[in-house]
Amino acid sequence: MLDNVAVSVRDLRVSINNKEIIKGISIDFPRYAVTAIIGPSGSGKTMLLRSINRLVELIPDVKVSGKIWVRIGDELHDAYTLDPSYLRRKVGYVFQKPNPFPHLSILKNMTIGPMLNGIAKGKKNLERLAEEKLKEAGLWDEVKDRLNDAAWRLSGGQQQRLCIARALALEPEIILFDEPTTGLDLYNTKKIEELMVRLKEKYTVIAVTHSVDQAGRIADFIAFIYNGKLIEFGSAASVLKSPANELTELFITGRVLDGVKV
Amino acid sequence: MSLKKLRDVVYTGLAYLSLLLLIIPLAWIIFECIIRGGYYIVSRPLEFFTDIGRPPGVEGGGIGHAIQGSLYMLGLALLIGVPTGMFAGIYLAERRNSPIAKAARFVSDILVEFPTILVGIVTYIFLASKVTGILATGPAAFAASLALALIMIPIVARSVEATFLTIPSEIREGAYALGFSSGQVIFRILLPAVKAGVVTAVLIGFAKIIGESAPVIVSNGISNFWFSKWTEPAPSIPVLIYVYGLSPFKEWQTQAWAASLFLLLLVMGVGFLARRLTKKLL
Repeated sequence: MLDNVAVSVRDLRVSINNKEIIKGISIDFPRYAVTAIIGPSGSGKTMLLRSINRLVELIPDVKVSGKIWVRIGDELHDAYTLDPSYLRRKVGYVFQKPNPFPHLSILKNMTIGPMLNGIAKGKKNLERLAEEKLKEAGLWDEVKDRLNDAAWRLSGGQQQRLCIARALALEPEIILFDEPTTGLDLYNTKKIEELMVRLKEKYTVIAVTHSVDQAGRIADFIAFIYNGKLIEFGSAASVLKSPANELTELFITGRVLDGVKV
Repeated sequence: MSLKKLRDVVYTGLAYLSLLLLIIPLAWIIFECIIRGGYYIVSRPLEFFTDIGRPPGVEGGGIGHAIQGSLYMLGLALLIGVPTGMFAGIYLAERRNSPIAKAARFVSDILVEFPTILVGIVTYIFLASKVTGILATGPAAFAASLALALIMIPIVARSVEATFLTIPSEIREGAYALGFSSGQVIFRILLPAVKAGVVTAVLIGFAKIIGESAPVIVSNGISNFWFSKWTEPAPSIPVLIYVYGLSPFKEWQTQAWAASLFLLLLVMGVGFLARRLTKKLL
């Protein structure tokens, strides 16, 4: 059942300080595909993403209800009964702003995750894993001669790819991206978009973006979120070319949605 | 000269003037200590640092006993104060909104402003006074250590908290997103990221208690002998300066100046070390 589903969300409601941000979303994210979550600022895209790996629980006074099932291996698990550490290892997260650990070297940024989580042991194994994942993220050639440099010396785009490689080093099954190309130049944006598409061979990719163009470039499926609700979900081609909902059409054609009630 | 230039000159002049106003008293104190006490250290360094004091009117003697007493007293105070202050600070920063953190923040804000002599008196009454003390029956060195620790803890806690709050939330979230437990996030990621700030916080607390005399006098009393027991008065450098400096005996007064010079250099050394460490660790 649901063999091709990586994450299944059922009637998800998230409120902070009793203010409801996510107002009952149900959606199935397909496995080994890129799904883009689009929608205007403040629509709840990031909150939906953070609910999947329970990063949302770091917010004080947050309440989450509903169910989220996450595929790990061959089984779907209830995310909210799993150990959050284990869940977050299996569901990687890449932030809007690159956030390598500033006091650690490039190499240490790569090895600390597997080391503390007990995924690899010994300097040799950790370094081999780091090299493999840096290659996977397309960063190896740029950093192989400066692995012991502080991570903050890298450019913004390189830092972001380091963060992606760092998430890959935990051998996740699903990777969540929260507007990962914000503030990056075209070259780095392109590199990261290509990387996200490449990653779907081995992982399930769910990416929040406010750019419809970007969604068009990377996504197999698109979910449009507005005002805490899922308005439309379908294949990228159908959502972009013939949106079923009027709101979706307004959004993807760049018109104002402010004040529209749903 | 244009008005803009004139203003520039005036402000630059004022800045230099205030710098001078800061430097003059410091330089003056150092100068005075060197003139009045420096020669005593230079003329008999070994005796000064290792020997005990002499009775009034007798030549010679040193502050070895006070150095020893201070080492004991500050040692215990650091042993209690550093971990407590550090953990309290981390708790204040990482559990910002918990009721305990709010209460602790309130209390440490009061304690920071608290007259240190009162901390000494309270410690003495509860722990070491003849009538109500629960651990000793008179002024005792451990009471002074505890008082110094209590003075140090809120300073260290609030500075550590401030240091932790400078960590961008993305770093903290990034660590949690890698599946680390709160313990791992705090001790393997955040603490190493701000170790320079934490070391500085500890040194600020240490610098605050290293020269304290009032809380030591009221809880530990005054001793001119070597440190013997935790439940008895022990000598210390600031108290020795106080006692020797106010005495009418010339030999003691000279040694008070010499001890002042030593203490001053010590505090400056700690400050210098803090700066060096901060630079190196950053």
